[in-house]
Amino acid sequence: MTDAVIYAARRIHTQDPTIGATTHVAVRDGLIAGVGALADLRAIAGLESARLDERFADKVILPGFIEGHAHLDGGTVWQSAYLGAYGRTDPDGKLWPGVLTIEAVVERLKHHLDATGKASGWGFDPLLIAAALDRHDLDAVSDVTPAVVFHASGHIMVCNTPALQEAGLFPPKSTHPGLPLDKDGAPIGELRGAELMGMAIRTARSLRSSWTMDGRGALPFSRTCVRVGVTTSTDLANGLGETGLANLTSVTAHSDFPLRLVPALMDNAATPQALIDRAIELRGRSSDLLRLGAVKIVLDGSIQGFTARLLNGAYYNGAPNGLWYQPPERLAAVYKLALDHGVQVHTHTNGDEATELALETLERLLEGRSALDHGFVLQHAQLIGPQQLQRAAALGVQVNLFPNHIYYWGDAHKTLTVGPERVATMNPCRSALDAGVTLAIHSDDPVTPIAPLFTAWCAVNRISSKGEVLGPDQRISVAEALHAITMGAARTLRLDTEIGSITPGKRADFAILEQDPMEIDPIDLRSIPVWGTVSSGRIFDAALA
Amino acid sequence: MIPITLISGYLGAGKTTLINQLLASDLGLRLAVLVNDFGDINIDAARIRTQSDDVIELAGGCVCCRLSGGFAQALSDLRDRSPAISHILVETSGVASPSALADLIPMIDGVRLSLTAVLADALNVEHRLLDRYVGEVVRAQLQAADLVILTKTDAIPPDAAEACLKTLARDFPGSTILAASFGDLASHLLFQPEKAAKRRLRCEPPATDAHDLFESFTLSFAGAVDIERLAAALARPELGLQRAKGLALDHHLGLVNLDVVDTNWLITPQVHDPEPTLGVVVIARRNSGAADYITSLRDLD
Ligand SMILES: [Zn+2]
Repeated sequence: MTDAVIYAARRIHTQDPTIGATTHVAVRDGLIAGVGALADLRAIAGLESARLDERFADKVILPGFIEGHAHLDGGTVWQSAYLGAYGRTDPDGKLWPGVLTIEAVVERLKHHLDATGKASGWGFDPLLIAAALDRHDLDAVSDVTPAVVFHASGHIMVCNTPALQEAGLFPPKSTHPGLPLDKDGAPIGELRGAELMGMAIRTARSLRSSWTMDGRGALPFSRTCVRVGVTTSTDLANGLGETGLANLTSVTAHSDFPLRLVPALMDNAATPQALIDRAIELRGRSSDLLRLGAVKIVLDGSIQGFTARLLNGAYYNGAPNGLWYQPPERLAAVYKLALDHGVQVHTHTNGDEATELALETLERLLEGRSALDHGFVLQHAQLIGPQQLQRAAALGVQVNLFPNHIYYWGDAHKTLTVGPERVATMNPCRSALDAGVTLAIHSDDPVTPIAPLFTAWCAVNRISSKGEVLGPDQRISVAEALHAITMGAARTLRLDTEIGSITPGKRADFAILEQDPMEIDPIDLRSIPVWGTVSSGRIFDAALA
Repeated sequence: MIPITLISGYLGAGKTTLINQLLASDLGLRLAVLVNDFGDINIDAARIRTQSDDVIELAGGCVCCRLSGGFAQALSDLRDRSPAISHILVETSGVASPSALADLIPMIDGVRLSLTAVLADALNVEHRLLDRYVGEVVRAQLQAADLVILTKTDAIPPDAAEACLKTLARDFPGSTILAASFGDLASHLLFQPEKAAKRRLRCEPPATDAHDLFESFTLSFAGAVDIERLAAALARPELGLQRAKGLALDHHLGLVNLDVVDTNWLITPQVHDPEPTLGVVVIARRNSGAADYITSLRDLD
């Protein structure tokens, strides 16, 4: 046993209802040895003469934030140039201002090409720039080497002429619904849809050194996490092949790795049985900073991509209903085996029809079972309705909602995807809490940037990027939002006995803040500076990350 | 131009069985089969020449590939193989529409679409077409078909199979509908797809098919049962029951024959039998959980 250290803070919001807010926390061997006023801690055996560390004396300490839905690709994606319309910070802490014109896109890609020898970009959002990017624009970046840009939706990529030639699409051998042509019959440069994008996959891959979900992505991702106060994050999902797993195991074993990583096994196994067998095997290979054993299954697509499955059968702008990514039979088979073997399942549902299928399947399988400790989580569930939330509560199903959408795509959801009425109840945090469902909220990084205080701000304010409040009835309080990014998220990872609150015996995982979120105006929640984190007792200064 | 046959159909329609038959038969062709996963593919180990994560090469030049890097990439890799591949068969995912892949084939050099074949399970295709979740998926698949192949026709009465053929022919007039044994099918798909599409075959699929996919067990009762309740319980659509047939003693009706097909049932009085053997044979999809559930029905008596 090593010596304990007592940290003094301006305030500690423990998220433990029996303790509440206090001023001191004692840490020993990476665990919380005590929490309370200094005099109370001194009275605990073993802490009488513990060293008092006052480096956080003017800071506010919360449990380390928990990101319940993100991807390690949030680290690797920075190998390409960021072309989004919003400013975004890379893993080195550099802020990349949003690009708002086609000229700025071309300029940034040119710089990236000069710096790396490769021209590829991500995050381009035509909805926000209100301009189209085409082959000629990217030919201005280079007309000799391939250049590709991915739209923020992920469903469209834009190629320059050399990239189209390399993919065998210039001139095209035939017409294709996903290959728009100009008036001369030449491709404008957009490839729409996964099938057609697959034609250029080799070119796109050659422009990034690693597209695989291997351990290397964890390093830049973990640095970003320190900056935003995150001490535990999922990677939802990961193929977790032996090579990738070996990478993750060695990366997370490093003494200065600041993040507890919770990858879920991606459902690409041959059979449900093979999937669950692998999950059970992985469970036994966990360590403190690498938690394995959960699986992820994807039922439908995305709302902004018009591929989510909706109960009313069509989108607000008339687009037809979305796509199923799994047959109901496979979902039922995975659920049944998972229930039988205590394997936790994260189910991606965006549309309410996908949510309906998940709930209905589980209702059938849980009939006659009394134990509801399966820990199943609906991931996104953005359109879940009040009646579905009641059923989720009754089934022991937890939800991890995506309030960042209200800010980033709220305006588009209002006018294009679901309409003004539905957008007001999208990501219904209020209804979820009222129904008694365990609630987490997430970023889905790199889809939107990981930053739990920003996600909490979205849930508290529901303000779109145009400044409109969308669905004021679904706003939650700051305290409730802080719970969602700590204890709520811990429950959705089945780690709530170890993390999520500052409670003696739990991991010493803290988010160190410069301001008290309970004291400021809720509209400023997203602007609270994060000093850094403490992960299993180890201190990480964001300025050095 | 290498011809491509797309093999589509909802989960359980028999795509993998068909592909296993094709791989097992020695047709003297250098066949390439593209599948989503090797999971249920059976290949005699003695025939495997090389094997990697994504490609299994067989003696005689056939290959089986996993669609891991995308469809376009897989096709161009196959096109460039030496010795040249003579025919490519693609198993599409159970919830995908084959038209997305069919649209892509003309964009790729050196290959052409020969035929889109969609397999339909005679037992439940009509039921699936009405399914609230996947009905439209199954419809879109059938609409994209040049050839619809009705499988598992031996599992329902011949007149029911014939009726199913007629319904599909009426609802999907753009394609040829046939019921065929898998063995015959292979050669028609590969050698004369255009001709196969115009012939109407009617043969039974091989019995091995049913054995791989289904399990059967017998429900026996000590005394009288409520036959209506039993029938309704067995016909619950979520059970995925294939068939249940047997003799039982009902509280009111006395000795009855019970016949359950999918979600429909028929109860007919049994003429006097001095020594009846009471019991209902149940055939259900393997691992569907039906066995556990049905065993619990013993409490109905
Ligand atoms: Zn995600």
